[in-house]
Amino acid sequence: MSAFIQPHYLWVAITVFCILILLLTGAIFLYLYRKKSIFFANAYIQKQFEEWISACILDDTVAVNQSIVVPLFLQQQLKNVRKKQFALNLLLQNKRQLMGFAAQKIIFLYEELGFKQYSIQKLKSRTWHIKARGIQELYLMEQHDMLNQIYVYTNNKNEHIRTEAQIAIVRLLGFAGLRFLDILSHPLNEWGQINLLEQLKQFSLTPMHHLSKWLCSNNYTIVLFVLKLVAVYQQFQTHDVVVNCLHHKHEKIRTQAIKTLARIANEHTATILITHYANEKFTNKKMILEQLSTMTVNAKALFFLACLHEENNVLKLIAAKALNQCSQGGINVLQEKAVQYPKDYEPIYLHVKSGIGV
Amino acid sequence: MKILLVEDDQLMLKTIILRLKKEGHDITSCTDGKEAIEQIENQIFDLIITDIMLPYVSGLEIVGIVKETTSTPIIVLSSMGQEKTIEEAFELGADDYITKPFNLTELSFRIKRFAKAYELQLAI
Repeated sequence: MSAFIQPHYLWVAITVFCILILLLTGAIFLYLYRKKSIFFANAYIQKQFEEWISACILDDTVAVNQSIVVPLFLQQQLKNVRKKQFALNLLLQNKRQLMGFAAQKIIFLYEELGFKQYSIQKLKSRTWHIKARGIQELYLMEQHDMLNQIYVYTNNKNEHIRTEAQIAIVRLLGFAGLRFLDILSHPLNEWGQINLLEQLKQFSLTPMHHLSKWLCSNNYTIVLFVLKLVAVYQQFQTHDVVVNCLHHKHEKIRTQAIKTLARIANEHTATILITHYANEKFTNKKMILEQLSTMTVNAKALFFLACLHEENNVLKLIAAKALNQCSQGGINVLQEKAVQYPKDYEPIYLHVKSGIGV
Repeated sequence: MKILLVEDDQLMLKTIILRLKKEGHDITSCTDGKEAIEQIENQIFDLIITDIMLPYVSGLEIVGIVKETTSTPIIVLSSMGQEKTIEEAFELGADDYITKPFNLTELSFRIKRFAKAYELQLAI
């Protein structure tokens, strides 16, 4: 009998369980109710705001900077922080998609509706994601007068704030905005690098005078980014400094330097890469072979031929493919090798012949 | 011109509609690809303007479906960095494209180009 639960405890357990279920149901109900009311409130403001804003944007009878009258109902709605943010998001979303007169009108509305002050408040916040959000809003709305306030965050210890500020400076100043690289002591992460290169696409190229200095930076992420920049915009004047990067202690930088050199190659580049080949490990040896195969140099056929004796089969295969690409008789050489040493070279020969990539 | 406008961003949709209505076009709008296909099946349009990223059926699929059966001109709205998608759209038969962010005046000019061709066709 003692193995069974006492009726008293059973009742207590049932009661506790029922109370928990009731509490959970109540919590779910409250949560869904709140979610639903937010949804309807957002839908209401969206409808009101969208109509007013699209009419404002397209009203070309009014000059861009001519004062506008904000309807009373909208003014009241915008007193609520959540609704205000929702309306601001709508403006930002539209700004991302439009240019010209309509975009200028959106910027004017942003300022007139007091959203700029709201973004500045966010910029001053101590919470990182609010600060980052503030920076984003300001640069999307092209607030050039906020440049100095944003610039100080380009070397912030928080990665997200730093990335947003760097993007902001580049968005506002174009290539000149890259000056933040002079003061950057924190790493420039991969996402930030991609983002900056993407932002720069919108601007026409202007001379970058500090490239050589940045390529010698102690911050290896700056070197990596600038190497990519040099490759994309083919900054031939930096060739010799990029060659120095081949001796950098970080393998990633050496890899990028090889890629960059292929993009800014001159008559000496192939020889430099061939000479450097012996000092490298597998990844960069592979990279050198791949990049050399894209460069138009006659002497490289001999080098590829020599690389057929590499111990690593992947390197052998890349060299064989490159040899086939750059020399007309390359495939015959491979065939001869395959006959002489079938165990080592026949699979490679067949692979190259069939045109299968590595 | 009778134009079908397919754009999932409501504010953008309203802005373009207002602009095109101001210029005297007859606009039918949809916010997703499925609805657009239904409209295309039920009506004849002189021009279709479609975003690429749409719910249910993408803008590319719309281009493919339209060009299989009609020669209705299509302008594709794409975002920056979607160069490959634009190529794909042209392969499917799209007639023009505009990259976001874009100028509404530019859109109007491009529509005018199609309107001229349309008027010419009517005259013939």
